[in-house]
Amino acid sequence: MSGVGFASVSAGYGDRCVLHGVDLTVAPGEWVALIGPNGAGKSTLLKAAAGVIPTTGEVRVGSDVVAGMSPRHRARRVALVPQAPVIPSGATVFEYVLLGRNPHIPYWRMESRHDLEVTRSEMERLDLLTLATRPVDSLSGGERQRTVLARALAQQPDVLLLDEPTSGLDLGHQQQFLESVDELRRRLGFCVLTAVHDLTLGAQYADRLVLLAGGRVVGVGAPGEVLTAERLRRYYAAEVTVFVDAAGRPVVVPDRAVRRSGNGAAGR
Amino acid sequence: MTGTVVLGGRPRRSRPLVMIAAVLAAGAVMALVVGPAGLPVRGVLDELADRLPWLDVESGLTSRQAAVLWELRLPRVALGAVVGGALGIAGGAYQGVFRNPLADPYLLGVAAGAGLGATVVIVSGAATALLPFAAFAGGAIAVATTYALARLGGTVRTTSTLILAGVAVASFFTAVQTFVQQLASDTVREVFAWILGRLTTAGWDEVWLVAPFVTVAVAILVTHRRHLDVLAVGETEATSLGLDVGRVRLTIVLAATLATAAAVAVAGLIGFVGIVVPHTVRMLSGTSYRTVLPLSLVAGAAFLVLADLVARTALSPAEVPIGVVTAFVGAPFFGIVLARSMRAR
Repeated sequence: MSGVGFASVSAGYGDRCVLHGVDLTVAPGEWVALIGPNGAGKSTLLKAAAGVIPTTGEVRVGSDVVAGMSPRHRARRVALVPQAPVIPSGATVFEYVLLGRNPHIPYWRMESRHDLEVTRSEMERLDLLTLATRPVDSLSGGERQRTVLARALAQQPDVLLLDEPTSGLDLGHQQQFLESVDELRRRLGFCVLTAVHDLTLGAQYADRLVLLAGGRVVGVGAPGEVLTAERLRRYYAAEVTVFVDAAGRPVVVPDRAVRRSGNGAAGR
Repeated sequence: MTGTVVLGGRPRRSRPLVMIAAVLAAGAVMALVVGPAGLPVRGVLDELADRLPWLDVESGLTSRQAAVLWELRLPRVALGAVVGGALGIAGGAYQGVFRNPLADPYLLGVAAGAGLGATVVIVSGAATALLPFAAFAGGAIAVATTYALARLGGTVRTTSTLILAGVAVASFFTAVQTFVQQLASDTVREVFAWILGRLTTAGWDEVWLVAPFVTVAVAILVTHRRHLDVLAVGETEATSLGLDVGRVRLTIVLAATLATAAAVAVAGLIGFVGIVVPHTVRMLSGTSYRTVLPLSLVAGAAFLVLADLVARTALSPAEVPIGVVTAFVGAPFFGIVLARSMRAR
């Protein structure tokens, strides 16, 4: 298993540059969460890692440069769960998870028995076997997100990229989803790079947090080091109080009283 | 043990195929038997069986009946099957590659472009062997223009953008085609009858002229059916799944255009096959292109053989152009697909 490294990576869409020279290393098996306000470049960094947008600088998986790999080779190392996956209408859970085998199937061939077995075992792992013939677009939010995760795992990647994976899920399903990801990365050894909105939840699962603002890294470290009230005021224009839970993880609570007393204008 | 058993829940594919193949076989036999000179069913089947290498059957057909079967009816059925199969699979492929349920060789302007190419060959008196090549060139230019037009704003925004671009391109190519056709007064009638869509003058020559092109196109499309399923999740995700999206798209569009061009070169403009057939197949077998493409080939063949049967018997002894028959079925069908795709948005 390999980690992923970024060396002065810049990327954007068309003429608009969103990321400016990001340096970051994620160790094999590590979980790093990207935080930052809307438009900070979290999704863009994930897309750069997945090789789906043009980038300058260098993204490496292990010692291999992502830009130099063929799409098939790259997709065997890096899997992306997008924020709003496109669900083809009518596609069944089985057909959808099987898409993850694409980089392993030779161009002119159909899937082998091995591919079918991997597909089946990833579905089993995420408790999807009973849903195999259901259309993905008929599933509940939690089931759908597990299906998308199963597709990514069927790629058997070294690096799993999750873009806001729990947005749209209720609290229980958020926990359930992140617990399965955590358990699988411990068992299988891939590293996880995830963009998160919920700072407290991100702090509970990630080994390290990376705070992005304006396309630049403005804070890296253990959750307790990165999540401070001053930082969040500065970069999110938010008034919060940061508590610490029993396990020593930070808990971010919005603080309305401070905001209303006038200090809340600080970030504006 | 196969994948089907391992997974348990994997949908079964054989039933729709058997059903569609049965319709094709029944339609073909009907088309061989029915006509101004009615042939006995038993005699036709025996005569066909007699041609199989290890069988020797006395059919009881007169030599005139045998000639009608071998020189008139059979090549016409074969051509209908080849053209229908080509248009059916091309329609399915265009829908997959453009991710647009309304894409079809006719609506994208491909057929009109191919018609222009073929008209130029007929009017200039060049060799008939050039027909498929000229039709392919015209079709390729048309589909490239349609796609470029639809993408003017960067990406293709809605389903209708592509179709509207196709309408514009088709109208333009049809206008040029009509102009070229009128330039040469001695071939006007020939071109006009052909452009309306017909299998009337079908002999084995036409079958052998386009069969190689259709075979190549079908082979490419069938081997790429798995990639169409990957393309269905959109460009970004397909790329993240290891697909070389640009290359796969181009390959599939060229193959579908080759199939369309071959069909147009011998049968003129026959619309709506590419809409009716793949959508009917989806209702029977689900939406995966793994099954939709091969089934569209067989179902397209069945549909056109039956449509041709209607075309030559409805007003017998006069013939209705087959394009009229397919449009009569296809246009209402198109309306239904349009209504459903708008509701799904």
